[in-house]
Amino acid sequence: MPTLLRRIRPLRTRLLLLLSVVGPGIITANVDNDAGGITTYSIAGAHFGYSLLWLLALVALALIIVQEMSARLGIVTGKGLADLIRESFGVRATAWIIGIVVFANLANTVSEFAGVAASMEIFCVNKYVSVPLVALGVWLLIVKGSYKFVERIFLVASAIYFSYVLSGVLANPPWDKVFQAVHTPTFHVEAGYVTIFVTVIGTTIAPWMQFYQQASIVDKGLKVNELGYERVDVIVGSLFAVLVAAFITIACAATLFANGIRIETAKDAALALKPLAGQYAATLFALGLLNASVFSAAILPLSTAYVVCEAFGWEMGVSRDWKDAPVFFAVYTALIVLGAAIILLPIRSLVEMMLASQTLNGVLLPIILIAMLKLINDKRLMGEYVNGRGFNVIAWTMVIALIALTAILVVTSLFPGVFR
Amino acid sequence: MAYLSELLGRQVHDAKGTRIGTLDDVLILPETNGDPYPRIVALAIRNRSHQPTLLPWGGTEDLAGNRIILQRPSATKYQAKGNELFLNRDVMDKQVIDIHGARVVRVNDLELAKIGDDYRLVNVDIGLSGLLRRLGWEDAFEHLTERFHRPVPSRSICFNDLEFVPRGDLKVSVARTKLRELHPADIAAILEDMSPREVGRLIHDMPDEKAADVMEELEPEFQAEVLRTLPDERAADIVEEMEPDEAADVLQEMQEDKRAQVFNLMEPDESVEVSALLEHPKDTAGGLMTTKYVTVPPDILTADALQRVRQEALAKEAETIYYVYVVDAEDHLVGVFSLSDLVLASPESPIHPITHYKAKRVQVTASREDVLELIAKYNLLAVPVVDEDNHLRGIVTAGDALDLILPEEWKIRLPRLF
Repeated sequence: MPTLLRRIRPLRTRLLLLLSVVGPGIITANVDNDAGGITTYSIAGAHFGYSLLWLLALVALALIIVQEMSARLGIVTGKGLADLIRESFGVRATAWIIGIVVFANLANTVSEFAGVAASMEIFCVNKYVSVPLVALGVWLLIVKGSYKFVERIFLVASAIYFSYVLSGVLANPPWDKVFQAVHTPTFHVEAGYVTIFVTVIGTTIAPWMQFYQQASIVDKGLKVNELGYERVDVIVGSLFAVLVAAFITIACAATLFANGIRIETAKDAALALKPLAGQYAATLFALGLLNASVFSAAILPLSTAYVVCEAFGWEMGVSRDWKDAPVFFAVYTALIVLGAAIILLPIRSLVEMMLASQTLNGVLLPIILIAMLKLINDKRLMGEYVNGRGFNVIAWTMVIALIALTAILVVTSLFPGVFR
Repeated sequence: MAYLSELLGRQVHDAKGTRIGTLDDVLILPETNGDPYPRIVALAIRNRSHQPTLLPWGGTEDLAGNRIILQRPSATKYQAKGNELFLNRDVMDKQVIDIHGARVVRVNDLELAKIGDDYRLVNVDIGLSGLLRRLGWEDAFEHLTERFHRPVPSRSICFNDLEFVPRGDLKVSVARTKLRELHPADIAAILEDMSPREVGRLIHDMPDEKAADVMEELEPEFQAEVLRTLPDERAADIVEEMEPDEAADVLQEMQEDKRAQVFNLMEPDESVEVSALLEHPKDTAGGLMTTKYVTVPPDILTADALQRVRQEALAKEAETIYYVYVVDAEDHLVGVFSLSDLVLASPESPIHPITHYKAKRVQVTASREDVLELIAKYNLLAVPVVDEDNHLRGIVTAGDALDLILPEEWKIRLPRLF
């Protein structure tokens, strides 16, 4: 036994060293492609073909802008986003913003458990078995404190996403059409279309990401002179996340949209991996979805608990026990229990559930963005690192566009056909 | 008595009833030494102008009513000295250290009360009730809690028991001395709740020795993150003051370039000692051991041995003097005797009768489990570490070994999200 350990250790150390180079931006971007993300991009490709690819190009830009601001906020102030919100906006505004974040994160957690249920159904495991088991496992993982090591396994396992890139290429889509779609904006006012629009934005630039990334930057103790390095990390991470998203869309468009197949269950979405994996497509898809879902199902409740406690000054940290940090564990546990319990209700469609949670992300995003923009333009906080004018123009345009889209979404869902 | 949250935004009038503006902030001078309740020195009042005006506190104002009435509004503005604290801007909603409770908390409200003629800051509210009051949910909650016969937990601390978490936008230099008076382990417990940069700033303000003591109480991984935020020179000074085994641990956790720089800036004799330890893997006896112990040659008298213990213990800053190791001229481990045997033996007798020649020892390559087992089995305070040729290379103290078996929750400062 000791000799075995001795042999494994150097390998592990080397692996950890390699991964320690991976920065907060890349990690956050990787978690970004969670159950909700995979589902959204799959449906975008399967139901709308290549027509949304131009949006993804814009979303990549928006993601870089938002994540760069979050990185800059973290590096310059050395504080988390919840911390800054509380210190700058006072208790009332904080209660609202944090309330919204908790709500959005709960919706996301629900979608992660939907992802667990959907992927395990491919392996013929009933959701009444898989969801409670995973919920318990995730809860124990954090409470027992073995998370850090497991996280690296998740990260390595998310290399499964590359199978989408391969599958997308092997499906041999009409590349000229694909490239044309990237720079041909199309838009029409129709409930389904606007929904997927907001959903794609919401799932790619989810509100929890800014909190998560900023916290990890603060934890790393990055200094202002490392801002340049961190920007590279953010840009690489964002581009990678959107590239994977684009290939999920392309793979689905080439296999599903081309044959007029609509995604009703996760099994349908797995067909997109057929050019790569053949008959094993479903297995490969299920493994990828399961990994993404469990990974995020662990992170989201934990991140939420930190955000809540950070904002209101309650004791926090996995190293404490229930008595010392009751709110921390209560929030964490409540999110997992609620997230899992909602999935155990009789739900018509897991896929729709995942999609709806991401739409909600998109609707709530402007609120977080406005808070971030106010913070980053605060001279007292940021000194010379406030946004430049051009940067502000782009960022505010984004916020206004998102609000407009949300408004159209609400109107078209309530009064279908109003714009016709 | 008044809460700052309720005062802010109130109308400020002069005695004739003319409106001056609304209350924007309240200024105190924390430097009034020894005074547990700092006095209000000025009010920041906002009228149409962009910047709030600072008006000196006259002492006759009443804060209890719905509007603040300045009896004798001064014609001259308050001349800021530069070390005033703006209660709303600098203290409200901020993270502070509760020295007594030894933890980081958030300020939910500030309580001002009239003592004599002056209004002073008497309490810093860090409890749930303050939070609820500011949300306007106090009544609703009181109603609820009355039903369950449990009061809303209210907690507050005195301004004197408060220490500021260092941050970039706090220009006021508030002397950070209270924290230093705590035990290093308590300080470390507080620091674990902060970000590496904030800890770096606090550590930076401490004398090298204190900083090193505090650092040793933190997890090596966190230590490395904190040292990252310090200038290389300063990091080297602190690492020098740490026990060599702890220093080796933190150096191992650091990134290669930073480690090299810190290492090169260390005093040669300290860095030599540390580099000897760095050769060994972290979880072997070699990685755990310290090189600060006391040795004597085999053929001396008890009195001389005692004299030597006194000198060496000081010179080497020995981690333990309860065991004295007997080594020959080539540093071979011959035996060991305890301090109590030494003190009890007659001064003129040689050390031979009190020396244990079959001292338990471990090889530098021994696993930490082996070390632990030996210490536990023979109830040792320290175990000597030798190489293949029986040269004494270091000792592992029971204290350092204990750190290995403490329940995980005690030791691990888990990464916050990851």
